[in-house]
Amino acid sequence: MAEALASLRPDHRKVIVETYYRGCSVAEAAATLGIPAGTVKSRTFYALKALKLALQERGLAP
Amino acid sequence: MSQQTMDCSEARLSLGVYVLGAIDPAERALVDSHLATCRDCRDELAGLAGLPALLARVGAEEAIALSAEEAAPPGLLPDAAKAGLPDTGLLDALAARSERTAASGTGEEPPRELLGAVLDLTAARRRRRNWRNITLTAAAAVVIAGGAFGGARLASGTAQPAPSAGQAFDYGPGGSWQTAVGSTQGMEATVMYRQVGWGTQLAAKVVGIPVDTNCQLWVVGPGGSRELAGSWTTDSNEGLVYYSAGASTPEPDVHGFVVTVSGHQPITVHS
Repeated sequence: MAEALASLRPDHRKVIVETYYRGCSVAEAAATLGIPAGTVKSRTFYALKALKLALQERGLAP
Repeated sequence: MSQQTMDCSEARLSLGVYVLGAIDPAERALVDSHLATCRDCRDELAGLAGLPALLARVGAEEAIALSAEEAAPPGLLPDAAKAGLPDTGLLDALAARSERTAASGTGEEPPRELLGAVLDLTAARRRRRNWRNITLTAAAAVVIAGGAFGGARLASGTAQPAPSAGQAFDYGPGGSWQTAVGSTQGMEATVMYRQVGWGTQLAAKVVGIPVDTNCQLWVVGPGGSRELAGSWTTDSNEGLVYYSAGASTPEPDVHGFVVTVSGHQPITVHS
């Protein structure tokens, strides 16, 4: 799992770290990363899609 | 974006922060109402719904360290250098130790003077836990909107005799059954659980909840992570049925349970 997370693009990994592991809201993550709130949302969505793909490649997700 | 409604393209892009619990409450309500009417978006959500449980397998410290490393290569981290933090191997070892400490519940603190030099782990964990709690109050909407998540929906109002839940669900070898009870606003949940080879086997009984109400049982693991263990719709044999459920979280790592009830406060059950 950590390997899948590590395989993500840095900007994808950053939004997951902020919104999930640090428990930040969209607004907090936007301020921390210096990007618009809308970008946090869309980037998180695409980051999760990429993560799912990375997990599927490793046989960790259906 | 309209103030009252949301179309598919807006809702889709919000689903990532929605499943991770970072969405703001007003927008969550808009996504919820869109999901109630859009099967495509519900399917999309169902595809993402399992990811938080998988993310929980990686410790917050390790994940944050992954990003910290690329922000500044180890040799360029001034604080880490001052604190004598040489490599990620040590960080990993410390993170693993802190996980073990949390799981064993001894209350022993990890070596904060070292870890604190790079990140304030406690604060990060606390923030994360707070968000998980907020997420859970609305978690019922996720489950109802998304339908069954893979194999998570183990029980759907199927009745089993109550007094002998241990026997009724005693398939195969495992540890002895333990019982935990919690209540909120006149609703009570009883959770029986035991260690088995694949994780933790569970059976939950609820009283004080109207018939035909959707409920979900969540297992609270290390660091406040949550795993969906099962969902059901209450039937008329209130207090006489145990709904079966299961979680991959090993029993020693189970810190407690939360039962989310559609339209009601969640019920916290301490193990």
